[in-house]
Amino acid sequence: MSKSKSIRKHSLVVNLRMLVYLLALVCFVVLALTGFYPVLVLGEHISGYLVMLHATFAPVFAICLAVLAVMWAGNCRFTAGDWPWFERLVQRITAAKSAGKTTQGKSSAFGQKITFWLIIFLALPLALSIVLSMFPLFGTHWQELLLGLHRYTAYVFSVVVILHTFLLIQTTAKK
Amino acid sequence: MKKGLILKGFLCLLILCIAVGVAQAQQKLLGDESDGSRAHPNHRLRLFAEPAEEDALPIEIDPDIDTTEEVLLPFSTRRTCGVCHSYEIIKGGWHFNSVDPNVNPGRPGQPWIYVDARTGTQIPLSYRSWPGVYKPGQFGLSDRQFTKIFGRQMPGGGPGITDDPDQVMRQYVSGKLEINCLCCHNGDPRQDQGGTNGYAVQVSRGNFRWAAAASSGLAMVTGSADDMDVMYDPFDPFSVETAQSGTRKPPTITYHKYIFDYENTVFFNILREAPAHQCYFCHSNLYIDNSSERTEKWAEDEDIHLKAGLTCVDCHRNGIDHNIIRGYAGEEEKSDNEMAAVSSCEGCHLGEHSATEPTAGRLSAPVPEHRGLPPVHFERLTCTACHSGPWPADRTHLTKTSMAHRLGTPNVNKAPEMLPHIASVVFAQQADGKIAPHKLVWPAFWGVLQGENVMPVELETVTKVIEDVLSNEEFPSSGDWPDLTNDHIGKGLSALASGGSVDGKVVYVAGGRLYSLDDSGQLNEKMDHPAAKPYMWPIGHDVRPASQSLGIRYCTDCHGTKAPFFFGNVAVDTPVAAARESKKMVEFQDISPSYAWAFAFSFVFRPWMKMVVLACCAVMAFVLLLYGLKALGCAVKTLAGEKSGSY
Repeated sequence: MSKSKSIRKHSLVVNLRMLVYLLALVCFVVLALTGFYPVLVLGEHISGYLVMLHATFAPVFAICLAVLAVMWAGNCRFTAGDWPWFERLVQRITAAKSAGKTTQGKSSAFGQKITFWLIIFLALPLALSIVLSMFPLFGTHWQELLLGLHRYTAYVFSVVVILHTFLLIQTTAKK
Repeated sequence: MKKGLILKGFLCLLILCIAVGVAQAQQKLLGDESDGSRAHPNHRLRLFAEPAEEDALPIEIDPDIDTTEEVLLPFSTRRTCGVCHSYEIIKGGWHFNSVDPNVNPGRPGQPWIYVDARTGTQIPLSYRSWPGVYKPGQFGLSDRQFTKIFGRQMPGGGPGITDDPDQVMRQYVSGKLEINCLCCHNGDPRQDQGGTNGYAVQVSRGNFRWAAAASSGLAMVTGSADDMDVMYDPFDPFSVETAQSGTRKPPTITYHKYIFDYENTVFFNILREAPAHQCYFCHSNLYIDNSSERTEKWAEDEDIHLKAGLTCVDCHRNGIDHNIIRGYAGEEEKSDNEMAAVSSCEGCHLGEHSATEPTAGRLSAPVPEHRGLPPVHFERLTCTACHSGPWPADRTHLTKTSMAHRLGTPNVNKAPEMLPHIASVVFAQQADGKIAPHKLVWPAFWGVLQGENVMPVELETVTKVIEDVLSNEEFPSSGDWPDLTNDHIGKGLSALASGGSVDGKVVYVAGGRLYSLDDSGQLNEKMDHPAAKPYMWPIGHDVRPASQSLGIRYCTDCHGTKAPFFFGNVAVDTPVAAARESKKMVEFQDISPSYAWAFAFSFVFRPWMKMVVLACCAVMAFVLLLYGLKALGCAVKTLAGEKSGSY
């Protein structure tokens, strides 16, 4: 009875996580389109309805990322198997005893973990740069720097998200 | 042989250079170039009057002349000041060059507004080619007529000194309204621009030749040139004496006692830098508070720059050419004044980027921080949008200006409703795409349709025909519009069309509408005709400090669903009572009203958004920290040779 309850609970969490992930992806697409289109295609600052759409989806995306960070962080912990080369390197440097077994690295999972932590890490400057600029804390020079930080972090962030999604799809396809 | 030729050539060149140099040096008069001293200039001058003939020598004024033999004339600023300062250079200055078509008109400025409630006329006029204004000549006003109406608040020159071939005799009687240096530079407290015998009154009497002397505080002028016959000769003692014995007195000057010293010179307290109160005679603004109709000066703050100790001419500078800086961003592209770039708001407060020396903070201008203000505001707004003019209200302020309402002159109608009706502050998009605060006037005039353009019917015709049509109407003593109806407009259009003095289709422009009669005689109204658009000119002053600028409290100072910046009501002013309505400010900004509202509405959720995003960031930071510390723990264990777990 308790086992089936646990399985049901687990599947609920998995579904919720997937739902949040999908929602985050939708938000990401909207944010990327509204953010990059005016800047990269039109050569203008984001403005008009695009900025409203951007600002509407941004907090939803932030919530999704926070939820994913909490729900996925445990699964994305690095294990020894993720980076045997690193373990060997450390052991060689420190002359520590070998565990006696050479574990094969799971490159896809490792990539997913790396990109997940990068996403969470980059989300902080991405979000804070724009939210802090809304408070009367920074003058024009710093405002421009924050805007630049937001823009360039967004470029890197987008690449990482695309990579993460690609790896996730690849893993799922393999299964 | 060859050497001799070279030597001769060199000598010729040298002589030529010296000749050019000497000629240039001769052009400059004593006062055209400063020797560098900042000391107060002492001006003890002989007075010279304009001679009867242009080419004759100036007449030196002797107060002790026998008036049966000679006429005591008013001194001429051109002849008196012009001894040391090149009048010809000065008359190219901004205040005097409006009639020169070669002068770049620059950013639209305040027009002269001709108003007549009795004919339903309120038309912006200017000699400068600003879009939306009409040239006085198009309205049937000669330079002399224009000067007589508006010269009260002109420092002379411009239309006041042009030759009028149609009124040569009249111009001989009244003289020309020369550039009056003393309007701005006389430090004598008796300088009288708006007194009962001052400059404005003299101009209205047609005493152009006498106006400068009469207002200088050195003399008294009585009589009126306009009362004199065109055959009157102001230089002929017999003519003057004869006129003096009549009921209508000719203009006569009496110099005050003791102003002439033993050398027959007169002391002038000349100020290089015009004091603000002298600028105010022509550049005062009165914003009538919608709620309290407050009009008292003591209840209004002045420009923050004046309160900080600056004067107008600290920013609005000029040299001997009097090419004064108007002080708007981008003026350096249109003006020859080398200091234009560093004298705008940005020039002083931020510094000129292309300058070779640091220019920011000139005159102690604080470098603004604009904390929390997204930089996009600097691309979309002028500095004045947030910092100038009265704080915007739900409805635009009725505004009076010196030039439009002849403030500071005798018998001014002090009623708030007095025409012309100028509305401010209107936040509107200007030519460079930025939103700036403007003053606005809705043109109202009778015109003739010429293609897409409307040319005003000449004043004389309008006065004759329309005054007759509206002769039975009641005109408020406040100087406000009468309450006209479409019937009145129809009658006016018919009368003008049938009079035979107007060629083409007669129309009436008022309140943003173009009225015309169709073939069946029915009145048609056309909205949004280009000729019916309001004329707007940007507001520069009074500048408010940072602590009273828009947005200082929160973004909703402008981005609120009811914020006047976007949703304030701009009164549509017209004599047609049924057409008096209002438009939203956003309609002047090239922004979709629904977008402006939606964007403003999003600010309701802005604080929540900030909180949500900050909370999410905190959660992510906590997760990163937690797992980062765990990873660190594992790394430490691994380095210690213990069995490592997951990071």
